[in-house]
Amino acid sequence: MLLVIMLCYASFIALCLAMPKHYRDFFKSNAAPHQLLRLFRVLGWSGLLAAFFAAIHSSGWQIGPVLWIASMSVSAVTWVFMLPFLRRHI
Amino acid sequence: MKEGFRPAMAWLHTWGGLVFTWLLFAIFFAGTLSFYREEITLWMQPELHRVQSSVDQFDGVAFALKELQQRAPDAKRWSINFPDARDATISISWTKDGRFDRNATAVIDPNNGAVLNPRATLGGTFFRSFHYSLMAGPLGVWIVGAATMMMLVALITGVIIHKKIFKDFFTFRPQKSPGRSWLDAHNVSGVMSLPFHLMITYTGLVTLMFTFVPAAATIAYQGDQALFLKEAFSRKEAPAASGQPAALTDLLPLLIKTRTHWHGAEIGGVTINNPGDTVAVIDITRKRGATLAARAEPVLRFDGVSGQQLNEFTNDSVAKSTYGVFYGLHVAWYAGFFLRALSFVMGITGCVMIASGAVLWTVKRRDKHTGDSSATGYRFVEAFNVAGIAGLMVASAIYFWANRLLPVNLQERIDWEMRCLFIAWLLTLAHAILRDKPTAAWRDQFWLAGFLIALLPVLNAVTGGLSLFEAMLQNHWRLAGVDLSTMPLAAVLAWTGWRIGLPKKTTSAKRNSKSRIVDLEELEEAA
Repeated sequence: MLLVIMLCYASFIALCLAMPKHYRDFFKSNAAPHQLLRLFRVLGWSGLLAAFFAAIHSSGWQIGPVLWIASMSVSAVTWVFMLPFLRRHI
Repeated sequence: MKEGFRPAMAWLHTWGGLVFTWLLFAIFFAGTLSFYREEITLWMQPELHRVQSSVDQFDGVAFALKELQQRAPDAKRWSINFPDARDATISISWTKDGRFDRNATAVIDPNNGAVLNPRATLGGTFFRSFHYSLMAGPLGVWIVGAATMMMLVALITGVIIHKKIFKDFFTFRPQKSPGRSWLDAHNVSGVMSLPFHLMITYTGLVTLMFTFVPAAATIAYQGDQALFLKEAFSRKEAPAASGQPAALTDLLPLLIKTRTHWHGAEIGGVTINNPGDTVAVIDITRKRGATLAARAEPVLRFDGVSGQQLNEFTNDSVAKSTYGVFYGLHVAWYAGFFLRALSFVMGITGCVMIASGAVLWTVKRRDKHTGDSSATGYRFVEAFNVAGIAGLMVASAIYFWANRLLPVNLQERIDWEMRCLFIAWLLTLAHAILRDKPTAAWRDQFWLAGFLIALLPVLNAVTGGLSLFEAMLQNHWRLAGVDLSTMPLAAVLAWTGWRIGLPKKTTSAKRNSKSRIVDLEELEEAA
């Protein structure tokens, strides 16, 4: 279960950084290397997919999907609300 | 109403949302607390704090039967609820004149058979009842239904009017103008947990569907809704008693046999029909929450004299399973520790979404309405925002305080606990109206709520509860969790109060007037 939420959290970080706007903002750089963004995007989506199977593995087909969606929501919302504070302090 | 699809939807979202916003916040808040109903109830009954968990679920069954035999030898039905991971006690109830009654119950320590006398309180059940009925009976249920329908409308219109739903997926800018940062907070809390919001709102309607759309049952049962519900959800009728006495078979072997039959699943409870009669029938129900579907737990029936298995009732009709899954998703009985925590966080996110929407309404109008005729309406909304959001926190904290400070033997104790909550809530409204500055009212109430909540662990320790320290030493985490959760909650409330009380925007002074205009335009465009 912990694996599911960690995968989701990491995936959303990757998907966030895959957007040029957030990439520039986060790394404080003007460049947004196309290939790196693409790598982030691929990592993010495959991470979410992996999280789905981890959720099914840990909780079965009934409760697994619920766990997956809940983990995505909570990890995404946590990341977004942390982002401004991270940016200010690192 | 405005021309065009999106502006019309925006109008509906803004004004429809505003009308129900405080009610929806209260419903969402109380509903979120209901995820921890058992834990809150335990906290509110310090008499039960020191009951140790039994080694096996069935340890106390002999005590329960003895107590039932003593208290109600002639009852038509006995019922025993077994301890589980969230409740260490064994509870018994029996029928009086053929019906189960709130007063015909007892709580027993499964380890030594001691009868416990917990104080009269609704505990966490208050929040659950309030969130679907507002404690106002059938009328309350209908009001909640209307608000829920509006919530669904607000969610869907919200998605429609959010033009940059993917582009702004990860966007939260607390440093920008208040209008912009509140809109971001509203969008993020809405979009990220949208699956949860849609699910909980829709399934909320479904759980009450026999009230809202009764036509089918009414026609098929000639208006006898009670009979319909009984046939649909109650276990099968037991045969009538013969009047001939016979000894009840030993219960424990049946319980163990049932557990094996269901591959080690936990047992929820036992109902014994016609105890002490030749046609005694024992129904053993599986513990709820083993599957996603609720209200569909299988029942194994035994002959109460010979101990022979008679039949197994499973609830596998498609219609009932569908309803059961919707119902189950809403009440989350399936959720273990981890998933329950996630549900709770998503519930909080929903509260943040509703609260930020309400605040956004005033923030966007703050500069426009000073001194003109709509200023009264604006003040009214602002005061209701304060009382509806911060005031509810104060009132809920008061409910916990009243639970511990009201005399244990007070008449109508349950009602007095609730009265304290509602009186406190009204007082916060009066305070919000009378306080000269809205920001000051926000700050006062958030700080008061934070203060009251932060002291709850202390109150618990000095009024007979198992203190946080002891609870942690004894690994009693269900109880310690309630005390521990007060700390981050109080910290967030105090921080919010401090943040709101800050002099109006240090950032706005820094920014030049041009960027402010751009911001306002963005805001208009987004809304």
